[in-house]
Amino acid sequence: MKKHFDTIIIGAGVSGPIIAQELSSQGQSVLILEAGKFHIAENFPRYEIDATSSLYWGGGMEPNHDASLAMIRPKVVGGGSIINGGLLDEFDDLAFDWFKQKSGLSFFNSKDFSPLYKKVQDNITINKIPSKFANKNAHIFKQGLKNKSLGFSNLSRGQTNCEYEKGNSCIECLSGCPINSKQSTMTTYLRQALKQGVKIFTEFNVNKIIPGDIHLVCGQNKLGEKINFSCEKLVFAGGSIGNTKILYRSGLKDFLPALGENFYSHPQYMVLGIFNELINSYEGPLQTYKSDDQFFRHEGFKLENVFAPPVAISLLLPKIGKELMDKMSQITHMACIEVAIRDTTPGKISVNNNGKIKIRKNLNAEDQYRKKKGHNLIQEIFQEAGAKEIIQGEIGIGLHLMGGLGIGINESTSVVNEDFQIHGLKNIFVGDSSLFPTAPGINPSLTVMALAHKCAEAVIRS
Amino acid sequence: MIKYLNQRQIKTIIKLGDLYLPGNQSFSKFSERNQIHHIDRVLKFINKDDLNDLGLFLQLLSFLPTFVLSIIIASASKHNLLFAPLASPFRLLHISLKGLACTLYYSKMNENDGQVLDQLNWNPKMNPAVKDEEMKKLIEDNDFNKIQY
Repeated sequence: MKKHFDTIIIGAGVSGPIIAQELSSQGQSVLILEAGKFHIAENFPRYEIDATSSLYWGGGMEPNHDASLAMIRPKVVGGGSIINGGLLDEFDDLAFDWFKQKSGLSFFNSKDFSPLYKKVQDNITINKIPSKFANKNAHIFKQGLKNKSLGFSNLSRGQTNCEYEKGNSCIECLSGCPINSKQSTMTTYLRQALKQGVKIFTEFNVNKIIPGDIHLVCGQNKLGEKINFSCEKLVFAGGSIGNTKILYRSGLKDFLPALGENFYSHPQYMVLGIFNELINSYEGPLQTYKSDDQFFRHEGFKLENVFAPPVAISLLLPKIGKELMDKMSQITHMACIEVAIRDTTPGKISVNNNGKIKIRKNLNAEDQYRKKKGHNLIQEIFQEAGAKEIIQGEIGIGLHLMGGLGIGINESTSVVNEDFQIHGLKNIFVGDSSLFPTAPGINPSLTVMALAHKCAEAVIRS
Repeated sequence: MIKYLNQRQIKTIIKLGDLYLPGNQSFSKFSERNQIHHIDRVLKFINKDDLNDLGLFLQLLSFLPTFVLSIIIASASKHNLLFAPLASPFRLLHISLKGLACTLYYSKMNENDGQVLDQLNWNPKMNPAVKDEEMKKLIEDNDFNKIQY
């Protein structure tokens, strides 16, 4: 087994395969180290018991310090692009302005990102979800926004052909798309990268790095055997929590004061409406419309029309006993809208002496206000639609994990410089959502992919 | 044969499961669903420290009578009404125990297990999985995890 590579990438999630594909196309030898398992279309877990426990860190979720938020962190080749809804949105000027302001970097603007978004679109298929397949859950949402004179639009999703006309339900793809329609980075970029000769080591846990002229990456395989690799250039693409953990364990917190700081997660709170009529929220596309109105941008939250499989719904219901079972028996009569907050309170990721991750994340008064406002709006939408009961989910979810290794010019408040290199560490790069200097309030996937392309350019340039 | 918990701990999970999911006129109670033997499918992915903590906690609970357990889980389910220092551990307890019970109850376990989901009329459809021979070959050739080294 080859042990030295031009570049090693830690993480095969949304961004790692993109960087690998770009670098290998320039003739570099590349190794990706990934903690998760390699699943392909025919062997994704098909039952919720296995999907929840095996595709995520912590056996399903990792709670924040007071267990009020469940962080959902994928642990699988393809990362978030395997288990998410596949929604791909470009940033607007507001998001770029916040990024520019926080980081001090002028390249955060729509003009500079336009060719990067184009690059992504050249590699994956993005389609608008057609209205004709929208399920009743989506109709309730759309009508609610219409009644409030709020704008909405059809969602853009990375997908080729989901064959909705055959009755396919995309809720099944939350544990990986079995028909290779969802455009995960595993089926797209990584496929190309592997064809170009990129090597990958799955179920491999990186423990620490030792920076130098030649960087050392120390870890262990699934059997617990310790293996070291070396490289000229190292790229972190293991996500906010993963990257922070490795840098902490490498003893670099003192060197990087902002490490683990400024962590954001777009906390999401689901609200269920129970109707007399049959809703069958599992049918067809999981989501069809998005709230698309400047009102939401200014208020600091957005509404999303979602649903979840039975175990997840049972956990959201703030009930136990017979009451829980009675509610669950009405699952096919439930619609669901969630409020996703653009969080203003930065959280903090740290690692304790036992090597265990600690996530400190609160909602300040402003965030609470946004959540409440979103809840009130959902309440009104469901009431107007004739819901007989409205139930707020009992835990929040952090699915967009961003920051912790923020990009910026100030070394005391950021971790990564404008060349995507960690301050003071030559040829160690960061190329994923952990770079985000703040929360954009927009689905981050597409911009993470665009940033991965930009990071790859920086690696090649260096 | 369950690998990660002993008999005493398993009995406690079943007792707790029946408190979380006692059955109603249409659905059987947790113990009658009889899927406890699948618990390792969840536990094998839990962090080792957390698994030890869970085992110890279940061991402790196993000495308590059912009515005390019902008070504990009822209190834990009211975590949002508790004072901050108490709320966090109770919330975590609630999520963990309810999570285990609901996973073993509301998840389909295999092709032949349609019991609960059929009753719920939960019936999402999906085409059969595609065979991705190209990706299989790429993995065989490039994944060190699959390669004999």
